[in-house]
Amino acid sequence: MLSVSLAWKLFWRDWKSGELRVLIFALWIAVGGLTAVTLLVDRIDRGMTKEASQVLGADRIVSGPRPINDSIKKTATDLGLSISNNLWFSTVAVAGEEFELSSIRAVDNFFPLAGELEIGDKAFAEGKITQGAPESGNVWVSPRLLNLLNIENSGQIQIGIKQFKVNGLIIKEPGGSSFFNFSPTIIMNLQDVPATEVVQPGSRLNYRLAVSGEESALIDFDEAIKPELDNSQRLLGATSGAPQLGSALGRAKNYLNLSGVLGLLLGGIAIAIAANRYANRHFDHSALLRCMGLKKNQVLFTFCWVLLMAGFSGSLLGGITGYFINELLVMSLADLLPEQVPPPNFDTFLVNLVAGLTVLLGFALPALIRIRSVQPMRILRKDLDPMSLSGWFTIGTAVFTLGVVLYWYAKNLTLVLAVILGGGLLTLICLMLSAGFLWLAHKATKNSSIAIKFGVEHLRRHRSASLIQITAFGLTLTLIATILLVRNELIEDWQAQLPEKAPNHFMVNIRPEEVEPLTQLFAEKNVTASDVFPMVRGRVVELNGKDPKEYLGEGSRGHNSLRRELNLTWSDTFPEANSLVEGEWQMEPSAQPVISIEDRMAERLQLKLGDTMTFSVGSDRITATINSIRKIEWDSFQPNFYVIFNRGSLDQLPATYITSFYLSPEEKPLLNNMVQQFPTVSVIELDLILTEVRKVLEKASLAVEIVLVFVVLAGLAVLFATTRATLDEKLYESALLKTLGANKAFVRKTTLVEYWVLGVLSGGLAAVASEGLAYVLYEQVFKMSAQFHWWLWLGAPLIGLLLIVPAGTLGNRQVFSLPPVAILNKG
Amino acid sequence: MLSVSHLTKKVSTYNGELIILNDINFEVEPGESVAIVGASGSGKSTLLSLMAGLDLPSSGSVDISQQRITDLAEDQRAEFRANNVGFIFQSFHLLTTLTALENVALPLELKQGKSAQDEAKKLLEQVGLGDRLTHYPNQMSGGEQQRVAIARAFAAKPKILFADEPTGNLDTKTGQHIADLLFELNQSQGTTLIMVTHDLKLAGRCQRQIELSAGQVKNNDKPTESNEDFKESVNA
Ligand SMILES: Nc1ncnc2c1ncn2[C@@H]1O[C@H](COP(=O)(O)OP(=O)(O)O)[C@@H](O)[C@H]1O
Ligand SMILES: [Mg+2]
Repeated sequence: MLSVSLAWKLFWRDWKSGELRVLIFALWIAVGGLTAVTLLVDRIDRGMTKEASQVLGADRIVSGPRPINDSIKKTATDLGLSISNNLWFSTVAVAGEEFELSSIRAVDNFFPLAGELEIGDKAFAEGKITQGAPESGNVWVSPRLLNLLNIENSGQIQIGIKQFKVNGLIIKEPGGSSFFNFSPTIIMNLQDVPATEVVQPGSRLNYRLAVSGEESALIDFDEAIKPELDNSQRLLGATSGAPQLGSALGRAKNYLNLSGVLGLLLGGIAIAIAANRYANRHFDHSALLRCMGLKKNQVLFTFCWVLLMAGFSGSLLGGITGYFINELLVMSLADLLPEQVPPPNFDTFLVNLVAGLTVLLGFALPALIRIRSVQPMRILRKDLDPMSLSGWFTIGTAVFTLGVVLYWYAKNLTLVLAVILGGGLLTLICLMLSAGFLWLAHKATKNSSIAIKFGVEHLRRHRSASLIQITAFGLTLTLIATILLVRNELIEDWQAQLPEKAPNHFMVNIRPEEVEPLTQLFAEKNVTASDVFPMVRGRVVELNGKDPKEYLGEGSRGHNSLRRELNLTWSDTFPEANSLVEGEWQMEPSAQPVISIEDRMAERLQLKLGDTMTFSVGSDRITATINSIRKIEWDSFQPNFYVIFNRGSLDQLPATYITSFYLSPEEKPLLNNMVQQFPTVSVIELDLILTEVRKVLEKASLAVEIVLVFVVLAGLAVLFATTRATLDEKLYESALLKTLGANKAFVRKTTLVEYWVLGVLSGGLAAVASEGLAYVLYEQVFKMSAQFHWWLWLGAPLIGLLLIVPAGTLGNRQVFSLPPVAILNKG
Repeated sequence: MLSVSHLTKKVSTYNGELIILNDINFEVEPGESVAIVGASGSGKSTLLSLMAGLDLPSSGSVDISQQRITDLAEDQRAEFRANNVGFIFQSFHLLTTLTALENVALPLELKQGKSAQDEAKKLLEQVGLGDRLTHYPNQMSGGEQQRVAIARAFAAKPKILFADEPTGNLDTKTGQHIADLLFELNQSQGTTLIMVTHDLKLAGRCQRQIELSAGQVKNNDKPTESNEDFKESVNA
């Protein structure tokens, strides 16, 4: 405990004298950035989970073909969770002559546990938010069903053997806006199900127990019931995927996390340098304490405590700053985030605090070890420096610490290794480039004035410090430049790449008899539309006559197409956005089924020309031979199909039709005409989605930019740390110069030349690195042709100068202001 | 009290082995004050560091109060120092980050593990700095700093006190004051004092002198009958 109280005194004094300032600043920035990022990402995640539960209609759903065990319901209620019992099945709804296959949701009075159920009495009009089931004997139905069955609201429909009165239209149901929801929905009271006599042995039923409540209770619930579920039962919602806009946010999240990591790394470097200087300046303290009888480890602990106190203050400041920045980010992202962002999580806050302290100790460890190894003899013989540690040890502990912290956040060893290896490689390249640049600067300034040579020489004399500065700052600028490059061009190029009048609307659920009038309408109104494709839905059941799992063997990832129903079409020729890879363009109409499949699917499913695929469509099984393999431009906004049949082979199956078309904003009112004329089709307004996506991109990059400020500050922390590390020597040198008669301006110039050179070199490094990165990103990831950005080569060094020179002036102000005697006397 | 036998210290340098101390032998009685004198570079500081257990000899041994400190491990020596040894250095070596009071209290606190502000305050008053308790070293003159260092050295009531050129960084007059203070406290506490100095006048105030030359004991005065006589002979 004594070392704690001693440490406290040491800390307090060092704090006041500014000894620990750089260290605290570095930690402040690193933890601040990290906190802002992690709080935000955590809130986005939880927000998206909440939104997912709106879609799901509950936080969790236990679903299965047989009634859910009472024990599961009991577990839920015991945990204080609310539950709702639902039964889903498909059956035919009848009204007079008309009938339609419908999705029935039989619900109890607790439905829905999450999300909105909106019931109204006119289609496309606003309804009333409703809770609970329709009264016994009544049903609510999709507006579309009225058209399909040719009845009015308050009309009668028959389900099974029971008559129901329609007394509401479903305007909005939880998760009800899914694009390809083919059959109309009917919501009925669970109590009425037996009376319909639809539920018979062998009927396909989906029993669903909806569960909602506190997150912690939900986690307990997941744990408790997982062992109880049998093969046919599933637990939904625990890690359900993000909704549509998730991927843009997801990418922003990656950027944010990357910025957080870079901030932490730069902060760590600054900490290592500052801690090393701190240790150097406290070797005498250590020796003295040892003379007075402190043991090696007591000295170590004392200084550990000092650092921890500094670390705690820095991390705490960082945490608080990060919190406010996170609020700022949430505001800037407001439109994108789920409507109700959950409050920040206090645990995340603590985790970051601990992470800050861990990074501090890890990066300062070499300095601490040196302080511990000071010999007490040093007190009598000044020249006895403690052993210096090998650079590898220093780098090793730093990388290890960073790895531990990253793993803590990512919980994914491969990812951590990849980040460390990739980051290490990039750093190594940057270090080598920096060394080259420094050498060039030396050559280039050979015949310059003495002040300039003095500055460059100073950089060369402190080679490792200079290389670290150039690299740290170069990387910071690289990140900024890359994000600017990619962001601008990604948004612009993507828009540029869409052809004029690219389809911006999809229309699905077109009935065969509507195809003619629809094409006529398009022609009349001069609307550019793609072909109209028939569509039936089917599932892949066999590959070359074998079960897909068996055919592909263990360990194969298979393909999406095995996991869901596919949209199958038939045609004589291929859609525009397709190009032939192998086989025949032409598909002869015939009753003998032949198919053309997408190239990546073929690869994944290990299929080649002449192989066969078997599909189950409704109650039919169809086996077809592969006749050609196509490549598809998926972002062409045309209807695209994995599998295209020849004409004649699917004709006997009930199909709906799909098309896409272009409407300018002025033509939008045409949509009303279409909906009136074809009330059962569904229109997907892609233009709205596109605007949304662009908005997401813009907002997300704004968030990234805010976080970049932290990265820049962390880079500055490195600069301050290195400046401080050579400050004593600079002070001494400048005092000597002044005594020898150099004027203030000369001293100023020699001191600052160094920062001019640093600024230009790190800017140059950033230009090289970001141009290179952008090249790789464009060629490899975006598959666009890369361009040369001349402004980068001017801008990056300029920004480097603008950031570094003022910082250098600030860091060296003592060099300019202190009179020489004050300095020389000290030595 | 202190016994040094066959103490030798060699170091290897670029130009081969360098013998700094060569077979040193002497004894010091409890309460005695001994000056170690000699030219600069004769090995005085090295000898002091070996006696205080700051460093280990190449061969030979040092015993303090029957404890052979040259056989102790590093941390054991540290503990031994905490309990038995005090130091005064030429360049004061106060902890710049602690106040005068905290500096003086530190060794005592290290020894007892509890706050020792009261004792420290008393000692500072004894050395005439009762009004400077909360001042930091850089706010004090060299003489004042050394007075703090003396108070600190006596704070833990060490059995033996090592001083390396305690007046070396001070002007003559201040040095005199410091020496007075040192001997006064030494007398009143009955501490064994071993002082390295090249100031013969200061050395003369000790009961005995050991003269080092080129790493060997050249002259080991037996205690004189009267301290006053010795002083006179030096001053003469
Ligand atoms: N570790 C060492 N390595 C090399 N030379 C040393 C070492 N320690 C002491 N010396 C040398 O031994 C000699 C004696 O040093 P020191 O004991 O400091 O003398 P004094 O205190 O009498 O001036 C000096 O010449 C010094 O340079
Ligand atoms: Mg000496």
